[in-house]
Amino acid sequence: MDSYSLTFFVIVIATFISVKWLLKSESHPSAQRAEASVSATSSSRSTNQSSSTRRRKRRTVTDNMIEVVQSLAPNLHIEQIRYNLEQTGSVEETVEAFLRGDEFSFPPGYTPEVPEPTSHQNTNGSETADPRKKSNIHPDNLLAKYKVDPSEDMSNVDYLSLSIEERKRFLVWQARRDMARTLQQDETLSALLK
Amino acid sequence: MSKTAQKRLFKELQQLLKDSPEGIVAGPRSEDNLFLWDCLISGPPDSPYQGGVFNATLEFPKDYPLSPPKLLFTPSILHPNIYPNGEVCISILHSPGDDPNMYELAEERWSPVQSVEKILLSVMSMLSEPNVESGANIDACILWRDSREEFEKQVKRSILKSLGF
Repeated sequence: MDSYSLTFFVIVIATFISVKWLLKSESHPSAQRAEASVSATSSSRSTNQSSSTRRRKRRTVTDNMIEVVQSLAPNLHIEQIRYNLEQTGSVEETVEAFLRGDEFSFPPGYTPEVPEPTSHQNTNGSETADPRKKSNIHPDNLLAKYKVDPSEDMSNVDYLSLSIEERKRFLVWQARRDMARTLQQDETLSALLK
Repeated sequence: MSKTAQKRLFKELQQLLKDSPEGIVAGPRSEDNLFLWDCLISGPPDSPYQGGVFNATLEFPKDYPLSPPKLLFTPSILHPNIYPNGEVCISILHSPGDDPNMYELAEERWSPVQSVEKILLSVMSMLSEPNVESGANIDACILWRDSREEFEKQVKRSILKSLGF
């Protein structure tokens, strides 16, 4: 009987611990981090009280948390987000404050004018990092690319009977012929060649 | 999936060969790969691109026609809606789920009822009517808006060079 009740209590305690652990792991990563910072700063139960008051002033803010808020509030400066996160300690609360339309203040003693150029540089940096911004604008040599001889006469070909490659050659040849005619008449265009 | 894409591309190719819009030639670069096309697009009349011929590649995804192909001008051309690397930014090439600018209408975007022919025609109309509001090349947008004459000169010079003048 005694061993039964002992087993019963052990099972109850084990269930309690596992449920608690499950609930903890389900909570948001930012909450976990906040808890982790509490457990790290509090060495024993007696100092827990004092550490939680210290925590109110300044909590650990990771770059990840700032990134999450910044993706929702791109117009805010990174220091404004960091300062607010330090006060709230959670991404959810900061985002809620942003959605409520709260004022996000800069940290005391911080001058927002100074980092402006650096943030500008950052956007420039991301521009050059974007592969689409890499310039490939230059004139092509279509005559060489499609092996077109301008002196050739293709005016009598039956377009629909041509293969794709021949159609391309014809299109380039035609454009070249028409442009040569236009150049003779259009002086502003021929002036561009000088 | 790839079989469906191949069948569909083959059908579109036959259609294009039979009755292709004027000033457009498009077809696979090589016979063994239907998913990479090489196109020539003539500059539309009454636009700075008039008289020019532009080369572009069309890259089809394996799940075509569910996803749109990618159109890349090789080399790129100076145009407000063409990225400096040659990628084209028009609504027909964006799938309904991915709208970078958040204001395109669903019916303007890619859906399996669109076709290569419609894409190429849209590109031609993009060449004659740039949309500065959704710019891809900021420098080209500014040049187009503020000094149209210089913009046209640069485009024309490039066309003349490409035709060997």
